[in-house]
Amino acid sequence: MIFLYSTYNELIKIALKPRSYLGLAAITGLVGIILFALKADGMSMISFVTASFEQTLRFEGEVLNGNLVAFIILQMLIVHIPLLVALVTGDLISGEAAMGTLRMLATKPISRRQLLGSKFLAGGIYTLLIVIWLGVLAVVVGRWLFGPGDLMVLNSDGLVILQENDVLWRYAGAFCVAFFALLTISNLSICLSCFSDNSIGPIVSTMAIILLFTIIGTLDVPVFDPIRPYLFTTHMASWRSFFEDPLPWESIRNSLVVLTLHHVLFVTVALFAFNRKDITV
Amino acid sequence: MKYLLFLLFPWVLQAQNPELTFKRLVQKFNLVKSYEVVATIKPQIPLIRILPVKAKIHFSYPSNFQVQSAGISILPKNGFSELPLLFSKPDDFTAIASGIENSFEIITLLPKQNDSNIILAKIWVDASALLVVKSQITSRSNGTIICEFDYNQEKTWGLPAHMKFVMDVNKFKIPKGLATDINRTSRPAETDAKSKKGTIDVYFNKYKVN
Repeated sequence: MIFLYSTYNELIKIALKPRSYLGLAAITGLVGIILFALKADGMSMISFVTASFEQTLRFEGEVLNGNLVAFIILQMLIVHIPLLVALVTGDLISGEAAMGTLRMLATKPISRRQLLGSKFLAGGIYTLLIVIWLGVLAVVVGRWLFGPGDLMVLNSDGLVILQENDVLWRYAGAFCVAFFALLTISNLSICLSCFSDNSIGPIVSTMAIILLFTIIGTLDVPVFDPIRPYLFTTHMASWRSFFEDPLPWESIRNSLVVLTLHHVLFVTVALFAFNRKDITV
Repeated sequence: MKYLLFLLFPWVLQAQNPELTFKRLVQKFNLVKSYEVVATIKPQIPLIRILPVKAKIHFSYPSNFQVQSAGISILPKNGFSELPLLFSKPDDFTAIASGIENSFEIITLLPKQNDSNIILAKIWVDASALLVVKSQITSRSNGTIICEFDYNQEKTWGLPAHMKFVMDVNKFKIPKGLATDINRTSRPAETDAKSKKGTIDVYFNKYKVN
């Protein structure tokens, strides 16, 4: 019970911090800009993709529709969301350590393990809220503004056109996987937060790790091939697998396993570090 | 006696009269001023994965086609309208006999004007039923598109039950920067379609000829 109260307290603390709304506001603003740009000149962007096909073929029907808009928004923003998540979750322990409230918190009748667990849970709930808000803006508002339709997705092995009635469940799956991937960022930043006594350190460190791993992942150099499958950033975009046909279940399962291993690693390291953290200084 | 006749009068051998056949084809084509048909479009194109799509096609003379589909469908660019366009301007082309293949007359159509979009057209004609069974049209804008026709009940109007478009897809390229999968842990296979042919099958039913 005390664990739930502690989680509730953590959520209130997150809700009272202005920076928690920064992420939601940033997503709202960015999605608004993308929706405006696509409404104003979306077809030119699409023709950039379909140009080589349109020399011989003609695409009939509404290519620019709410489903494609939602996919474009997801593709554009999912890269930036880790920053917005880390901005809040990276501060959950180090911020309290900096303000001196961690010492007071630890005097309460709650174990350090439970306290840390409630912070992980609160961080996860905040991440979920961010993903849900992105989903509402991308899918619901996108479909409301542009209307439903078949989804045309450009993968590295070609164009896939998915029928309208085959799209929504894919979005649901994609958002679940995207949440699971972002939860890794939340857990990483909380883990790093255990080692720091200032707010900015874990946030910047989280971003630096994401940047480093992303660069290693995208560099087409064979020397990185053995480590690439084990980097969590490699699996951050596995939500895209839901828009392939046939669905690569093996690849999705593999991504979930790697991400789960990272969750376990970060939580274990955080527990180890937090249990030994000197809060008297 | 028959062979002697051919030796004496060799022009008797030249049974093909491409101008006349083309003229009769055009006359048959002119019978239909507009129609509406339900089509099932089944593309099989390298680098593109799409399920068959149902569409409604409206034709109005001479070469206006409007395709209405619930979702996204893929058709050859000007694929439907090139042959009707050719038939609507018969005086712009010279018909030349190019032999016989499987009992179908092959007629080559050459444009009389130098700036014509169609560079060369070849049609395989069932002269007895006055039906085009195959066409190969090379145009400046679309390259070469081969189309095979099958007929059913509406063959009296010259309207096909099935059309199969065959086209080169060598030019298809995936823009690499736009299609980067950062979660791909293996090197992707070569994505450019090299020397490949794509086909689009269109099945027509429920013709409403006006």
